[in-house]
Amino acid sequence: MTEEQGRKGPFLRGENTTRRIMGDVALALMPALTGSVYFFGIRSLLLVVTSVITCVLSELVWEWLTGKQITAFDFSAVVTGILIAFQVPVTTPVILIIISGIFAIIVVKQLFGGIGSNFMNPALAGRLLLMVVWPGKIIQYVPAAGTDAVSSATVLAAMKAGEQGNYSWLDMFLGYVPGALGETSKLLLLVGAGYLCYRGLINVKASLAYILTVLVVTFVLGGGHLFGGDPVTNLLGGSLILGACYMLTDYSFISARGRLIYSVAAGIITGLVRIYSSYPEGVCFGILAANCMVGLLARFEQKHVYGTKYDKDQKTAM
Amino acid sequence: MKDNGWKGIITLVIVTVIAFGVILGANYFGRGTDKETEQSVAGEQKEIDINSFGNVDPAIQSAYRILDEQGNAGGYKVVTKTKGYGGDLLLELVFDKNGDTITRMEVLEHNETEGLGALIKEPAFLEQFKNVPLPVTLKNAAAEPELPAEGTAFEDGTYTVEADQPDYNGYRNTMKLTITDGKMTEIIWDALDAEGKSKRVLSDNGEYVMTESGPTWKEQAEALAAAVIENQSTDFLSPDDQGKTDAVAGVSISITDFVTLVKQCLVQAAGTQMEGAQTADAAGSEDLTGSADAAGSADSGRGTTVDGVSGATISSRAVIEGIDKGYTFIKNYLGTLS
Amino acid sequence: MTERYPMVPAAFVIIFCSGTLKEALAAGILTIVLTVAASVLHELMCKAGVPEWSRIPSLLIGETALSYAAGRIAYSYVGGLTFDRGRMLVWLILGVLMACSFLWGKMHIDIDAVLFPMAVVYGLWMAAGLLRELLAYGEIFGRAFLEGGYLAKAFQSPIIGFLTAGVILGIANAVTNETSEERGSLLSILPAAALAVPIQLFSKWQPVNWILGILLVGVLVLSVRNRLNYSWTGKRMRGLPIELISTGLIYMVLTVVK
Repeated sequence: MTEEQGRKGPFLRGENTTRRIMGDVALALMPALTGSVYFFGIRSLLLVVTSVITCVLSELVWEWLTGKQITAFDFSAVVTGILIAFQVPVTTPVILIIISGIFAIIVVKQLFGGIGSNFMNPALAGRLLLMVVWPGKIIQYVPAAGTDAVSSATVLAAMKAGEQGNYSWLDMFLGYVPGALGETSKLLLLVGAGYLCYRGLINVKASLAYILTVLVVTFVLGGGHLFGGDPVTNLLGGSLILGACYMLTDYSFISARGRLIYSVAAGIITGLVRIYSSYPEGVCFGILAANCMVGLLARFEQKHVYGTKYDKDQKTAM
Repeated sequence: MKDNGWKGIITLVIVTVIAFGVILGANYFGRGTDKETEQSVAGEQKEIDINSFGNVDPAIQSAYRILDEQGNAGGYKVVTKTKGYGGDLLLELVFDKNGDTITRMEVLEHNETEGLGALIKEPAFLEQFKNVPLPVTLKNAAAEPELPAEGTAFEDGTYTVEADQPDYNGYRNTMKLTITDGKMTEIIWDALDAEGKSKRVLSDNGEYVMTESGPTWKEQAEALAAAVIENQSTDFLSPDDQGKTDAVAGVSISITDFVTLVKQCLVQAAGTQMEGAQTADAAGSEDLTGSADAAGSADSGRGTTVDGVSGATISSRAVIEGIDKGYTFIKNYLGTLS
Repeated sequence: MTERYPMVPAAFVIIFCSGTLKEALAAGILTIVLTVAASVLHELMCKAGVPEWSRIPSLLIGETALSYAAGRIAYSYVGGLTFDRGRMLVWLILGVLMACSFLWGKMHIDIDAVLFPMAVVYGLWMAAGLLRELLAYGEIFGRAFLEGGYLAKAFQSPIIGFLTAGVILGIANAVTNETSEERGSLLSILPAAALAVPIQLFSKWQPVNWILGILLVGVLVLSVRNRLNYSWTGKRMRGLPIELISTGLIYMVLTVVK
């Protein structure tokens, strides 16, 4: 997911490109958004809209107060807003969405310098804040509409508790499972991702590498004994597809091999968290941990720009 | 230059001496106020030497008397350690001065699953224990039924047990056990979903799927039943903390519900009625009652029933166990004072 | 490049002592006093011609002792603050860092110039203490004020401590037109990582936890620092403030290891 390509300043590609790219991403998320309203009710729409408005407003206010160039309408805040809402269950209190949005935009993105300068994915960091400070308030999952389910433990949580759930693979693929707003319907997410592929905005290799790594790790080490894991449930349950398609940042300053290493690292950590920690889902931690390690990667896998000498202070131009 | 050398040494010596003086002075002055606070600050805690009591339950980690402003015991604090689902559970309990109710409690450490067992930290769960008459029992929990004594004759017949409440997957457990000539000859374990559909049927026709390869739920239930009939007992199963057993080939599901149901049927067969529930740790046994609920729900006649965390029965029970052990300890302690 | 107030020591003490209004008030004043003391002592020694091989240990010993003493006495006499082992270490390390700032750091030795930035920091520090106390306990100065399901003890954690320190220094730099360098920021972050261990892997061997904490946080902070080479971080946040915020975020990610 290319969040980094638009940069401020006198470059060949300016704000218009960012707006187009981010607009495409927002468009790609629309099927999943429709799905969330279908599965979880109109409150999903309320949460998403609140989140988007909060993010855009935060960015607007910040840039106005600090006298910076106003980029609040380049759709990147919109995408962040949608993704923040997509990671929480429909029962989340609205105030927490607002706090998460403000934190994601101002602390994680703007304080570091705005789009392209932040090292952590803002949407994931926003969710991480909620998990750290108010963990109990964002785990009240409910069954999806159109199912017979009485229970509401997510697929991965049920698997971690040792009980296999009663959701068929089709259920998990279509989205008839309890879960966060945007993560349940893999079908709709993949439709959007397909659109992004068509527009050339997804790094397919990186996303696939990430998914495969998670599946391999959970298959080999999960399930209580060697090779006892359940790859299909790991693929279809939880936010793996959401994360792989929309939240794996694409870094322009490391080589293609470096980006692969980044995806694999994220995958390994996601898998380990799913198996060994007390959290049933590890996508958030995996990608964020990889975000932290990008600097190390950049040290060794720097993209070589032909015709220039690498100078530590030079901001790498495309 | 020599001058500077001297200056240097003198400065260093002076500074070091003054530094020591300053540190000692601070310690002296600081200690003065420490002593004062020891005596009169309300809330000061004085440790109780648990080792001085004979058979203290190993779950009790530490205990304190909380002094009020006059220096008398205004309350008691106990830290307990019990076994939860993912690991040890450390509870901090503050009792009132008679040890009758809990005024405050906190989960200090836990290893429970996020989103399930970890909900025991939430105020919604913990608030239930504040200022209510102790001891506490989990709603709809039955004590682990005691197997009738060796040699008790089982009456021939068919005995059924049904759970009142569904487990967190939405299925209500049921069991039908048949005794012929004093021995178990048939055990049928099933579970019904909200529409009354049977898990056995659903797993047979492929609607209830756990893993693609491996025995279905019904096959595992039947394997368990066969093993128990062959052994005429459930002891060999020895479920671990998560309810899994190694004793029967091909069975990988959690079996605590199954064991509880069998015992309840046997209790019926032996003609003894189940007693009103004790506190969940009364038996002190290794067995954990899983999410199976027996037909006779608990009401001990004293104390309070509370709601467990839905889907996290083992975690909830660990909390209850900690509370009751702390309560027992305090009551014993107060008994030794009089 | 010089700085007008001792940023690294201030950052370090803010991480730990901004949790309540009372502590912020006490710690802030003490930090100002210690800054002045270090400045005076250093200047005296320079003027007296004391050679460097003596100045260094003298300032280190003197400032550390003073810091310990000030902390001990202040905490003992202000009700509601406890001088436990953790706090003792904070004040000891603060003394060392303060001395270092004057000996090898970029401290511009000018008493007049230091007081204004310190006052700004102090004001922000107090505000942060007030906010954190409200959000964690619903109290101000120990008196109950708010109640509600959203009060979370997490606001007293080192995570929020790091974020607070970063934000305070960022704002202070903006107000006082000051900038900071990256060099030396690890001096405030690594001791903090040892005191506030992010991961408790071995409950029996605490020293291993400390070393692990320092290594892990150090590597990740350096990694983020390298990544930030490709960023356009604002002038005021660049250097120490943004590294503090990064550390806070890193700590958040590390909470997964329980």
